[in-house]
Amino acid sequence: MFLRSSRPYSEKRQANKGSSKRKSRGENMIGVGKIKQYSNVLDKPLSKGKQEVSLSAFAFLFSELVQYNQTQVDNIAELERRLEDAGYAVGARVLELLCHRDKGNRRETRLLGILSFVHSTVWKVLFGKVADSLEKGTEHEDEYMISEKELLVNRFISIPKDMGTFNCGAFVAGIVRGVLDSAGFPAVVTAHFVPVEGQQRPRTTILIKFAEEVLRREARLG
Amino acid sequence: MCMSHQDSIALKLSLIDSEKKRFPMAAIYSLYIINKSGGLIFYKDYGSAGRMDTNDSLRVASLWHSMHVISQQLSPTTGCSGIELLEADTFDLHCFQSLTGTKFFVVCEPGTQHMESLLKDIYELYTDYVLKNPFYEMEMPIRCELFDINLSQAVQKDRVAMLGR
Repeated sequence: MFLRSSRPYSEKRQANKGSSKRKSRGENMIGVGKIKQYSNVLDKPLSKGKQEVSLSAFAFLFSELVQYNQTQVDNIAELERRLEDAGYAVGARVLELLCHRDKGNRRETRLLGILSFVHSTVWKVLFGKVADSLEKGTEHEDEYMISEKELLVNRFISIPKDMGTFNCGAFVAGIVRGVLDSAGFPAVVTAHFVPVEGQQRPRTTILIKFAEEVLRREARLG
Repeated sequence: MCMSHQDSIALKLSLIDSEKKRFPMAAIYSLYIINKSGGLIFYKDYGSAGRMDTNDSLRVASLWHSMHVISQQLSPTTGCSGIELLEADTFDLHCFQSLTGTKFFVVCEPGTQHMESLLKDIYELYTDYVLKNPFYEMEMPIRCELFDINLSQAVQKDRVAMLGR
């Protein structure tokens, strides 16, 4: 984080020189007050980032995103597509960031690898917890499902009855599609409500349907 | 035979305790939420004592809104923010006004305790499940499933807590 100090420049240089002398004497001290100035913004290290963000702030921002898109479209399918596109942009960037931060620039080449990456790492970073479950579809070979009791983005949203099966989780489906696409696993990802008996609120399932080429490649890799 | 002073006090206290056991602590009759212009946006009744048909509930809401505003003008003290409690023979009315002018009021049995904190909890539920819902239009009637579910839970918890006291 770049902090601007109010001390005059000459004073600061002397302070730095003094502390560097201390360092060379063998004291392995990380000075809390030391501020390293970077001449080029690209040289600054990528920060770990804030671990916590206000849920209310996100909820209001997401609510405004949905409302804005509602004014631009005529029907629900279009609204879902727009939310998915917004999520796609997030997903592509999240993959880059997480590959740098968490995985030490390793690249996933196997299907199960990338799926568990999405299921644990991406979910942990975005929503603070790993997803509830990851399942393989029984009917088709190319379908996988990530289930969640309630998506974080849907926490405060009640869908009106006249909107049918619309799910604001389309945003999360877009994020997953962005991650998979940028990692080289093109897929069609959708979000569905799955009713559960004994509970008022339905579960949410993110359905991932991989493209043909992914399955062929996977079969070739053995 | 005459009782000592302590004995008579003990007898009175035991009579009050047994009365309390026969008549448990009071319950809510109905809950109203009105927007800043006085229109009713949410109405729920609990039990037949508070039940009202739609037109009557709308009338009561606008009536209360007008009284609330008039009371602010009539108050002998400066800086009055309106009626907070109305005590009558057969009911109590507790009112909570948010900073934006949205009023939450509950009609309950006389002597019900802790309505203020319940109203504040309901206000929190309103800010969470109504205001963060993108499909809710401001100042319009509340039709949010999550708000209804959580409201029932909050009222139920309050009822259980009251019976426990």
